[in-house]
Amino acid sequence: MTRLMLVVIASLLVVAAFTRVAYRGITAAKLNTGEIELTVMHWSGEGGQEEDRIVEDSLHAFEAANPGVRVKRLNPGDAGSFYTKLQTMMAAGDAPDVFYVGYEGLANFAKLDLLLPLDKFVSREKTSGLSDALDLDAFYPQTVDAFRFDGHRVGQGTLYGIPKDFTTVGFYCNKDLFRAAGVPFPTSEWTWDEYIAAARTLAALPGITGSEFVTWPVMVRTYLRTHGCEVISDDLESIRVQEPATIAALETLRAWRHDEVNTLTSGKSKIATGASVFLGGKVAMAGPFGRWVVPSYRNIPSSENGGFDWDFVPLPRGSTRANCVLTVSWSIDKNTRHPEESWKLVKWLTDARSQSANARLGLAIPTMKSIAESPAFLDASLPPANNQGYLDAIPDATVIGWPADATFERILGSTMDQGLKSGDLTMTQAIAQFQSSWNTHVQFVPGGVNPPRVPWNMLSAGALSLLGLIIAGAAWLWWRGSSSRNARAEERAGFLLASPWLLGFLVFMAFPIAMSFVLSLTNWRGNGPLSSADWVGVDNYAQLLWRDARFHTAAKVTAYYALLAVPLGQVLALGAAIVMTQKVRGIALFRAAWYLPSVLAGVGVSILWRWIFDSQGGLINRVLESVGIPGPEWFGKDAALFGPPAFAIMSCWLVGGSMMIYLAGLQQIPRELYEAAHIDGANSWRRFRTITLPMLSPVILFNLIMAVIASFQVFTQAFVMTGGEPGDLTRFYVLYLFNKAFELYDMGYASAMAWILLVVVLVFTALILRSSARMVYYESLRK
Amino acid sequence: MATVTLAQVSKMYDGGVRAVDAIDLAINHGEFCVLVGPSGCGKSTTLRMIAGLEEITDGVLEIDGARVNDLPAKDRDIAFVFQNYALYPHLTVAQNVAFGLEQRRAHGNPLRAMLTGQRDARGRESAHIAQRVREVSSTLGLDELLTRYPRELSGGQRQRVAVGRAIARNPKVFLFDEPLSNLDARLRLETRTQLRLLHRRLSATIVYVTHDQEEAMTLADRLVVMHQGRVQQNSTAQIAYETPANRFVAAFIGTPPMNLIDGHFAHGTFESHGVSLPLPARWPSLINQSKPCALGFRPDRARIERATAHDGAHSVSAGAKINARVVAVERLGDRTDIAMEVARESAMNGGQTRLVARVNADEAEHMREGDEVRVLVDTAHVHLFEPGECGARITAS
Repeated sequence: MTRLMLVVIASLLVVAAFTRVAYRGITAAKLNTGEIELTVMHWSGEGGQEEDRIVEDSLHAFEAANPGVRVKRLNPGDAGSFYTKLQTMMAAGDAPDVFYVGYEGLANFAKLDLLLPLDKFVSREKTSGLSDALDLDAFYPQTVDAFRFDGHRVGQGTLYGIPKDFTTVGFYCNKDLFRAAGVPFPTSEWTWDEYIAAARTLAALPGITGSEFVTWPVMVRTYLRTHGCEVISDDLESIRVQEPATIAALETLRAWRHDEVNTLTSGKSKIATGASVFLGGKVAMAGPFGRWVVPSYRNIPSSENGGFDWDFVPLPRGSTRANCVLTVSWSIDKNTRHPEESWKLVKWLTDARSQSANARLGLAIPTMKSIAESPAFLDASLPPANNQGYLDAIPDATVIGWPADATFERILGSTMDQGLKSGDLTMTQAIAQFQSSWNTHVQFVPGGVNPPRVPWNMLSAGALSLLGLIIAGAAWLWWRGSSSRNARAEERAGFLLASPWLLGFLVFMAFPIAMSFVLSLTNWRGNGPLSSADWVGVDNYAQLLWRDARFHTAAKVTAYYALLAVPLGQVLALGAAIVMTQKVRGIALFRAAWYLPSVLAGVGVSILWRWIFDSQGGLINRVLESVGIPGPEWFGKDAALFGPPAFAIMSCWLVGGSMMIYLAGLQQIPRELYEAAHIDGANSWRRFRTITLPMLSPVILFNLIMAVIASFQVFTQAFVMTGGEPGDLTRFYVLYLFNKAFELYDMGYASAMAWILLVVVLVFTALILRSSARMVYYESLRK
Repeated sequence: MATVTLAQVSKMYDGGVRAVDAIDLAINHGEFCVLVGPSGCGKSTTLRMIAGLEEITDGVLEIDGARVNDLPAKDRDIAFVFQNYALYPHLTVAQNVAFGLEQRRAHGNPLRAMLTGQRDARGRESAHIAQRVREVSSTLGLDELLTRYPRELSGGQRQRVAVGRAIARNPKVFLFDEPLSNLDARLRLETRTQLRLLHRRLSATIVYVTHDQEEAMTLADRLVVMHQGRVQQNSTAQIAYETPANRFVAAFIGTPPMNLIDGHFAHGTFESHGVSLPLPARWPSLINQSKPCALGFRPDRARIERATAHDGAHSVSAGAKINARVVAVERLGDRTDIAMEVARESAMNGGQTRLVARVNADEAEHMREGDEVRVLVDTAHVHLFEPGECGARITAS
């Protein structure tokens, strides 16, 4: 009877655990007959809730206009979360029907054959004679070309998206500062010479920096284009970064930043760069930015209300005029079940009415000429006054094509940052590093030219038979092991009750772990079906271990950090624990205070520390300055030496957990040992060495192993605080793994990294355990 | 060798708990003094105050005539053996024994000794320490164990190392805090004897704490029975056994303890429920008095005879006899302990009075539980106590 009860309860638990999943499936299918559902996914970065609302309104209107079609809207947040979500959905074969694609991601998606070609719809529109027919000629041609891909480069070939809006770039200027410095406000025709002259004059104002110049790869390339040079040829066939003109242009930019005081913000810290520095009113110009900063800059109060007047000027000209087109499309999933309805929706979302609504947001330029040149966009009731400036740049603006392999942009960005932003490399060094990294990358063709497909059938058959063998073996052992009927019945009940966990473990832990090993031997990209993966053998491992310099840097950064953080953290935790054993009034409060940081959210804490380490106004550098020590640029040009130590110092914030374990260990030590030592005449240092340390040794061992493992797994801090920058100088192992897996879609490669990390952790743990055997005394744990 | 004197020494803990209450104690050169009492009686606290591990709240502690109240433990020249031995886990037996000597050397720092040109002095010290460790180890039979770690030793061996650590320094006073209670019964007996021998050989002053009165009696030159933070009796073990100072000591010392019957004394007769004992006129202070008191006699001062049917009623008045019923018979070989309940006229008035008699085995051969018996008390060896838990013994002539 009892046994029956156990069986029923256990089964109910399992059923309950999976009911939710099943329930979702049932509700999803609950559509009226004849109705279809489209899923739409977008992001809302700078546009915020306003953008969210505009899309939602537009979709409601679409539903009203198209009975029988329902639209489900997803918005995972910013662009980063959007791409992660999209990738996951695509890998699961559950991609949304219609979604945003940024121009820079188009090549990658199109190459993986994930997007529906739109040419046949477009050509049909022309002849359809419909009142709402889509006419591509009404769009700025550069924006349309940004979503054409010919299998090799963007700009020509098949159309994969309809641009919803776009922007050109330029500088945002603080007009009040220009007036104060007596610098005439620039026009759309200004040159770089005028720009830098203005920056120098403005920098002479007390406490003012001339300009912020972001060194994002696309901005660097746009800058180079104004000098008639580039880092890569337009056909993406040859690297041009080593050309003398390119080097000269880059050296000029670097010199402005690093050889002059206050002319450009020198990228001394992350909060001192980017769009937000302009808000403070201490930077006279900021750019090159597109239209997307406008919603947040509109929050700057006018001069009368304590803010300042500002406006926009397009990018200055060098030897030629150039600008870039940054744009986002609405695209359709290649495997959508409702291509016709999806196309209808894309048309709806890019038509004149939707574009007008979007224009009011101020976030971007409408892609339809007629709307862009209408009051919907040019209305100057809100700043900037110079809306025309964005349009002035359009004739010279082109889409800057990127190789389909996103690694190019990554490597370019990180090496340029080291040269231009942090300045710890000369341009020659940075360029050399770029070329070497890029060559290593392109020479790596996992699996060779024609790798075989992954033999999934064979693998799954093998895995299943292995699983069968294991189960049979376990059953046999179980059968033999316990002879008495009672014992066996108890074991059965035990397994039954543990089965929800066991199932969960097998499905959500053991299977993915085993799977990741298989994937590490393939070139699966993480955003296509598994069947598209090729078998590459140990190529990923070989590349990682012998050739990938970025990986080696990541390993070095992590090791440097571990070497500092583990001893520092453990000494501090033990010291704090010893202090916390004092019998003082309110000691519980102190203990709680020390532990508190450990329960705070990692992201919030990371942002806090980002400010503490800020090289210009940060707490630490202020303190150092006050005692006459010039503080390093922790995450700037001194990052190679001071970046990982900064993280190590930050990790001390979290010693509370270790401290609590030490505290418990300390309280286990018999008081008599200290008394005996007292009577023997040992001083406090001797007592610490001969009693506390040996008696605590098992706890130290435990904490040490945990700390070593944790130090190999640093992610959140680095992701939030530096994103691995500058260059790769704070790119920790797991951060690089994340970049590879979820940003560069190299899941096989990332899986190999995960397995190498696992082996490293295992080896270290084993080493510590073995070497410690003679130094650990378990007396205090024995009773 | 040293004297230890406690004058009106008290220990008060936070919250007003008085663990030790103004005790006086004078321990002579070379004396083996045992503090004994139930747990919480203040004996360990007293020992720890002597050691300097607890602060003295009030009173004066002298070692060799010098006030040491405020002297730190390490400067009192005492050694302390802990109940759990407190051996340093990462040091070998030899290092454990030498530890105290190492801490006291004048040239402990090898670097400094080298720099100040005192390497020879340091070397002589080292040789002396090694010599001392050898002496101690041969005294205690630790030679085989010197290179071992505490975790590799048995309980008895650890105990010996703990003693070795204490004697290595040749202190003035040895303090033992229940050193045998973690050993099994047989080893405890053996070690007891060894301790006794060691004491004789070292002629050291020892203060020894135990809750085991048997251990206390066998070891003590001076037995100090403590209860509720006060000294109840301070004498030799024999005196404490034969003439306990009060009812507490009477009940605490001796196995099995003294039989005690609450009752009333009047006109030369002790009366209790079911008991009426005419007593010889040994208590001059009680002549013509009538007062409540307790009667006590040792189990081995009682004899037992089987009650027969025909002498029923009148035997109650037949002198020092108590009617009782056997509730347990514990045969110890040559002796047998018989536990009895006194026959009561009524079941009123609290619990049953229990008695124990220790008799020769052959006398008790046929005794069974439930037998009705008469207890014959040797009235020459009975004691009378004032009422109350610590009621003083009423002096007999």
